[in-house]
This record gives sequence, C-alpha cells and structure tokens, in this order.
Amino acid sequence: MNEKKKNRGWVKNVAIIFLVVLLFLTFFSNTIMNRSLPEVSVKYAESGSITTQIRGTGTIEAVDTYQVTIKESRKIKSVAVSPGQQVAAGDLLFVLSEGDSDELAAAKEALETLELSYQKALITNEAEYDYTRQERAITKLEKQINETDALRRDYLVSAEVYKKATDAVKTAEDAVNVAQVKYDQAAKDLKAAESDFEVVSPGNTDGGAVTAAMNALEAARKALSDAENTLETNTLLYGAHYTIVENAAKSEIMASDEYLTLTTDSEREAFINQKLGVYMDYVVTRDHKGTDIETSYNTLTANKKAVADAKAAVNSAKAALDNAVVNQQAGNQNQLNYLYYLQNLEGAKATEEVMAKLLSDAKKTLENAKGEVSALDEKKDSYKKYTDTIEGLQENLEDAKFELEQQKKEDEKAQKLTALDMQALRNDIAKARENVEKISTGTAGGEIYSEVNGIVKSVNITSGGMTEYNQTLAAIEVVDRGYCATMSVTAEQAKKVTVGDFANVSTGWWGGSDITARLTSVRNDPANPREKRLLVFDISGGGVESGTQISLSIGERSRSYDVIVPNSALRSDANGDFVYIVTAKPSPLGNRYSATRIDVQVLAKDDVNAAVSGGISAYDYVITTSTKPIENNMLIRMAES
Amino acid sequence: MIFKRHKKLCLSIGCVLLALLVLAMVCLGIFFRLGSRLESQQAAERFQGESQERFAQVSAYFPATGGVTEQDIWTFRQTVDQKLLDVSLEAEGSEALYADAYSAQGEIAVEGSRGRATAPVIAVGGDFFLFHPLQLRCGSYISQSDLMHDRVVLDEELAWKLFGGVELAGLTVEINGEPYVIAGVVQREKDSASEEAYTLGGGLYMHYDRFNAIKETKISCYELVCANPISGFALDIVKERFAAADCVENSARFKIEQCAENVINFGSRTLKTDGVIHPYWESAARMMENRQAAALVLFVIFIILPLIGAIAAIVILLKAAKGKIRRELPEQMEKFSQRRWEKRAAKEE
Repeated sequence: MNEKKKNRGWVKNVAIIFLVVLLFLTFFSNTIMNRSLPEVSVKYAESGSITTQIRGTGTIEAVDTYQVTIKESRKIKSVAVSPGQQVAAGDLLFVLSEGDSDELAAAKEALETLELSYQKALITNEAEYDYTRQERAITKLEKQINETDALRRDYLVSAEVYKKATDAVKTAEDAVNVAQVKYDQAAKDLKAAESDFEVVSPGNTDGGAVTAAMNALEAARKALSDAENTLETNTLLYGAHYTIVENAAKSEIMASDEYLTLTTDSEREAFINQKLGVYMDYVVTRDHKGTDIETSYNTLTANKKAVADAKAAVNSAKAALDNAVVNQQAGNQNQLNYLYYLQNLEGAKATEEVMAKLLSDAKKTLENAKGEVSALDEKKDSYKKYTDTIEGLQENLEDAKFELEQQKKEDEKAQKLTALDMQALRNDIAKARENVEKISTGTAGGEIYSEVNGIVKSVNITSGGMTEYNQTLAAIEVVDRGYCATMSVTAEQAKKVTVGDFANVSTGWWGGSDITARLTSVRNDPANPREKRLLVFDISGGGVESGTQISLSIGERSRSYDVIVPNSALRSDANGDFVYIVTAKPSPLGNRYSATRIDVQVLAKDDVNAAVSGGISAYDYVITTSTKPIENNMLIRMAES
Repeated sequence: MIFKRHKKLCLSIGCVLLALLVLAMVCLGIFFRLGSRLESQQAAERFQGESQERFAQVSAYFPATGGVTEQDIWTFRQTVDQKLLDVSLEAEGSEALYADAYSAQGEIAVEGSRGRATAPVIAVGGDFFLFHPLQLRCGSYISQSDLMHDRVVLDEELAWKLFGGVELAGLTVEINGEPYVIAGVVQREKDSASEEAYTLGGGLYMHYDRFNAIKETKISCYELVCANPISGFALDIVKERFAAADCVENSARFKIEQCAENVINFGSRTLKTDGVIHPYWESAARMMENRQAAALVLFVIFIILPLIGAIAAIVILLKAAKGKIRRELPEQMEKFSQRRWEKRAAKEE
C-alpha cells in the first residue's frame, strides 16, 4: 500500500512540474519566440523623386592662358613682374641684355652658307650641250646609205628580166634536146645510109673514077666546110662592119631611080639581091677606103666567095661523081640503086651536117642563155650584198639617232633638276633671310612687354638667367575670358547630365562655396575616349582662383515615382530583384509578423533610394535590414524603435 | 531478470548511456549548427530563393604574388555564360543564373570630421554584399552596378573613430584628398570564428576600381554563386580558369562527407604550399570546419557506447523475452484454451 502511494506521489510531482513548465512556456512563449526571431527594421514605401548625383573633383583654371615665349637665347637683365601680379597690355615684363643672341648668329651663319652654296651651284651647273659630233656621224651614215643605194641600183634585176632569162634557158635547153634528138636521128640515118651505100658502092663495080670522084667530092665538101667555118668566124669578127657596108649599099640601092620604079616587094628584093654586091663594092671604095671596114668587107667578101666557090666545087664534084657513076654504071643493074643510095648518103650527110649545125647553134644559144642567167645571178648577189650593207648602215643610223635623242632627253632632265635645286636653294636663302630679319626685329630694344591684360600666373626665369629658344618665360591668365574646370566621368554617368545644368561646388569637404559652376560641354576624355567623358564647367563667382581644387556635384533632373524604397530594402537573387514587406497576422497572443517576398523592377536609383514597380504599393512596410537572414514567410519581430 | 537482479547497476549504466546519448545529440546539434553559422558560406541558399535550380557557391583565393585584374573577371564572366549555355541553361527575363564578387585587401588613410585613421580596406567589386550580408546599422551597401563609385561602407568601429556615431549615411570622408560619400555602416560578424579571425580593427569597404586607381592592387579573392546542374559543375568552371588559385566549394564544405574528409586529413590541412593568404572570412570558415570536425569526432565517440548499450539491451531483452515466451507460452495457451472452453460451456448452458 505504501509503495503504491509512493508511485502515485511520483506521478503527481511529474504532472505538477509538467503543468508549471507548460504554463510558463505559454505565458512567455511570445517573449521566448520573439527572442529567437530575427529582428528587422522597416520603412514605408512612399512616392517621391529620384535624383541621381554625379560627383567628382576638378581644378579651376583660366579659360585662356597667354604664354610669354622668347625665340632666342638671351640673358635676362631684370624681371619686372611676379606671380599674382596684375598686368595690362603693354606693361614691361622682362629686360634683356644687349647683344646678338645665339640664334641670330646661327641664323646669319646659315644664310651665308646657303648663299655660298648657291653661288657655287651657279658656276657648276653652267652646262652647254653640244651635239655636233653625233649629228655629223648621222649625216655621214645617211650619205653612205645613199651612195650604196645608188650603186645598188645598177645591179637591180627585175623579176621579169630574170624570168625571161630563165625562160630563155629553158627554151634553149628544149631546143638543144630537140636538136639533139634530130641530130641523133640524122646520125643514125647517115650510118644506115653509109652502110646501105657500102653494099651498093660503085667500088664493087668500078675502080678509080668513081672513087676519085668520091674523093674529089669529099675534098670539095671539106673545103666547103672549112670555107663555111672561116666565114662563120669572120662573120663574128667582121660581121658588124659588113653589116654597115651592107646597110649602106642597101640604102644606096633603095635610093636609086631604078629601085624606085619597082612596085612589088619581090621585085624590089630581087633587085636588091642583084645589085647588092656592086653597090657594096662601090660603098666600100667610096666611103671606107683604107679603113678597117674595107679590110673586114674584103675579108668577108673573099670568105663568101670562097664558100660559094667551095659550094660550086662540091656541086661539080657531085656532078662529076654522078657522071662517073653513070658512066660506070651503064652496065650495072645496081646503078640506080647506087645512085639512090648515093643520093641517100649525100642527103643523110647533108642532113647530118645541118642537124649538127643546128645542134651546135642550139648549144651555143643555150650557153649564151645560161651565161645570161649566170650574169643576172651575179648581179642579184651583188644587189643583195649592197642591200645588206645598206641595212647595216640603216641600223647604225637609227642607233645613232636614238642615242642622240636619249642624250637630249637626259640632258633636258638634268637641266630641269638643276633648275629645281637652284630654286630650292633660292627659297632656302629667302627663308633664312626672313628668319634673320625676324630674329633681329623680335627683340628690338631688348625688352619684352605683355600683350594681354591678366594676372601673372607663373614666372619661369630669374634675373641673370639664360633663356632658351622657344622657352616660356611667364604665363599670364587672361581673366577677361573667365575660368573653367573639367571633371572626368564614365560614359554612363555623362548620360545623366545635361548641358546648361548647374553643379554644386565645394572647395573643401567641410562645406560649400560662393562659386557657381555651369556645365557648358561634354566631350571625350583624351586619356580614355572610349569609356570616359570630360564635363566642362564654366566657373564664376566670388573667390575664384586658378589652381583651386573643387568638388562638383551635378544631378540628373529629378523624376517622380509612385513607389520609392531605400536601397537597403532592395534585394536580389536568382529570380530577380525583390523586397520583403511586413505582413501582420493577428493571434491570441498578439500580432505575428512575417516577411513576404514581393518581386519588383527597379526603375531608377540614386545613392539612397530606388524607384520600383511591382506588387508593392505606397505605405507598405519594407524591411530594410535584419539581425539574421530572413526568408519568405519567415516569422520576424519588429525592432523596438 | 538481469535487470531486476542488477537494478542499481543497470540504472547507473542507463544514466551514463543516456548522458552519453545526450552529449552525442548535442554534438550532432552543434555539428549542424556550425554548418549554418557563417552567413558568408550560405550565399547559394540565399541566391536560390524559391528557384527550382540548384546553386553552388565557389571561392577562389589567389596567391599573394599573382592576383587577377578586372579584365580577367570580365573574361571569366563570358566563360561562365558560355558554359551555362553549353548545358542549355539560359536566364530568362529578370532571372539570373549566377552572381559574383571579387575583392582585394589593403590599407588606406581616411579622414572624418572627428579624426583620421589608417584603416584596413577591402576593395570590392561585383555583388560583394550578397556573399557577405553584414548587418546594416544605417544606409545601404555598395555594388558594382552603382552609378557613382565614390561611395564607401564603414564598419562600426571605424565609424565611431571617425565620426563618433553610426548614423552616417550621406556624410563624407576624405580619402587620398578626394571626398567619398558614406553609403552605409555595417556591423561585423558576431560569430566567434569571425571575431577571432578578424583582427585588423575598424575598416571600410570601397569600390575596387577607385582603390586600384589610388594603389595598384591585384584582386586576391573571387567568389561565385552559380547554377549547379550536377555536383562540381561550378567548382570545375572556376578551377579550369583559375588553375593557380586555391578553389573551395563553400556550399559543400559543411556536409558530412567533407567533414569526414577533413577529419581524415586533419594533420595536413594546415600545410600550405601555395602562397595564398586567405581573407578573414575564409579563415573563420576553416575554423568552423575544424570545430565541426571536432564535433563529428565527439559525436562518434559519444554515440559508440550508447549504441553498444542499446544493442546489448536489445539482445538481452530479446533473449529474456524468448525464454519467457518459451516458459509461459504453453501455460498461457492452456489457460486461454480453458477459458474458451468454459465460455463455450457457459454458452451452451
């Protein structure tokens, strides 16, 4: 029983403790829970404006600064101004020591050198261009060509003439061939006739009379042949003279009365033949006595007579032979045959002689024709040689002309270049003179005066110092043109400003100033033209001094928005930008607050606030900061303030 | 029987085991608590929000002798875009698939209305405060997307030193002869590891490009939170580009597998051969890793005995139950049968 009581007592104690703890937790649950919840601070979302401020620094400087420079090396005798001093145009700035500067001396020396070079160039370039030798050579060549051409003309063989000669050779060859054929036939016939004659020769039936007659006939024929040969030879030698006499005789005959009475050609020809011998003797005796013509005529006449006599002798011998044969052959039955074959033989011999003569004549004609052709060939060769010579001379002539032309062109070019060089020298001399004059007159009086009104910003030399060429001695700020300041910003920032806007100016981080700055231009920053821009401000107002460092702040024109939240309320994650707003839920133990995510789009932003649009409206509480990270629908507690 | 025989002993053992179990649970609780203590390691969860996509946070710490420049960061961002495109991931509308931040550390002279100081500065770029959401005492954070980069964030200590207060948003400090606007004042991390790791005193945060213009400094830390369709995707992208850097996947460092690896490599963890000087938040994270490893080890130690005890108790109980069943089952069966027979008989009557 006691044990049971102890067991129940234990349970009762546990139950009491449990209830107490439960009550404690229930009453203090809010407090306990609040302690564990993240504490947040909130702010109203409200309408307002966003003004983006572009800030930066710049240095005030004069818009226009006049640099006092000197173009020569001179010694400074005294300096009449000091930095910060106000000067007017015409005020004395520096006094220079007397004497030529190094630059003037150098300029004068340079001028003298140039003038000397010019004189030397004038002498050197006096060139004369003489082409007499070349022209003479050309003339000589032309003369040679003409002479050679004149010589060549004598050896000109026309194609017609040459063709005619070659045709004559061909014709002569054909004639020779024909004559050869005929001669061969005649020789063949003679041989046949001789053989036939030998068969029936009267030597068989007769003895010496026929033989003697034949021998006599043979001798007469030989004498005839000799006489004919002699005649032919002498005709070649004396034919011309004979022809002269013959023609003269014919003229005489044709002039005679008897001749004039004749009417027909045949009568006239017969008359001429008849009287020719007598008249020829008469003409020779009358006109050519004692001359070579007479000798030639007599020789030929004698030859003709000899030939005629020889012919008569041959005829007689023939007749005698015939008689002998007839007499011999009275009782011979082959007498007719013998005569026949004798006649045949005679005829064959005569034919053979004629053919031989024709052949001989044809061969002579051929030889003459070939000689003619050969002579023409020689002429042609000579003509070709002269032509080659002329061509060679022509080529030389053209070369000579071309070289002369080239020489003239080169000389002309050289002349032009020389003219250009001379002109350049003259220009250099003119420039050098100008330079000397400029340097000489630049510091007339050895004093330097201000040309502008302004404030001396800096003096870069002291008394006794030596200037250098193109050195800046002093800088004068031309205050009449005003002051400016530049500020470098990014391209994105430059888009937010408008030319004409005013900027806030402070000269130190501790406060503002009376200086006003107005944006006058936006241009590329030379240091980084791709990404940076220079804002140029016109500076005015009290206390403006060149060199003052100022801070500028210029804003984009304000725009109003319906919902503006602090930048600290804006959050972003993978789903984009959002804010947390406080949502209150009533509960028996008081309001419970939770964070609710609202996705937003940022419309504009400045240093403090951002304009947003989305599921948020004005006067929503947005969570700006918290003691712990918060998530959507997480319970939170508001900060006690 | 055994429990009845050795009641006091069993009770004592039970209490000890229970205590050990409680301690193990506490260590387990500490283990998980440590894993979520540092907000600088939770950027992936914050960035994910309500998105269905997986995200991972990766950090790259560069050697003291070789940092990177802003140009390298711009180039890397293009690489990330391309890598995401290669796996068919493309941001739609206002969504984003990654965010990054970079920082460099140095010192700078800063002057306020009440005094001047040479303060440690963390020059930041990108969305630095997404990774380090320090509690704002006033004002707002600074970000690369700000129009003006002449804004700074002070911590409480520096704010007190320069101005004597913390409501300083909109006021001006002078750095290198130029005015800078105070965007906000933050409170440093309150966890013990961060407090222990940060020893530099009152400092400030300013835009990296402005700090680099004053003192040329390379970027020493790059942080990225990126979509992670498969494990290690984001880490591989960073490692591929920044091979010389010490790369860490922050979102996986407090998982049990990583912790177990830390326990195994505990001896060599402090061995550093890469010349990297970690920022304080990484040092704090490593400190947390070490603590977490210790908690895991303690948990394992504490849970062993209770586990063994539980197993032993189960075995003993099973045995006892088995004996009791063997003994009493026939008797009970007989009693049950008899009762049934009596009931049936009563019914029939």
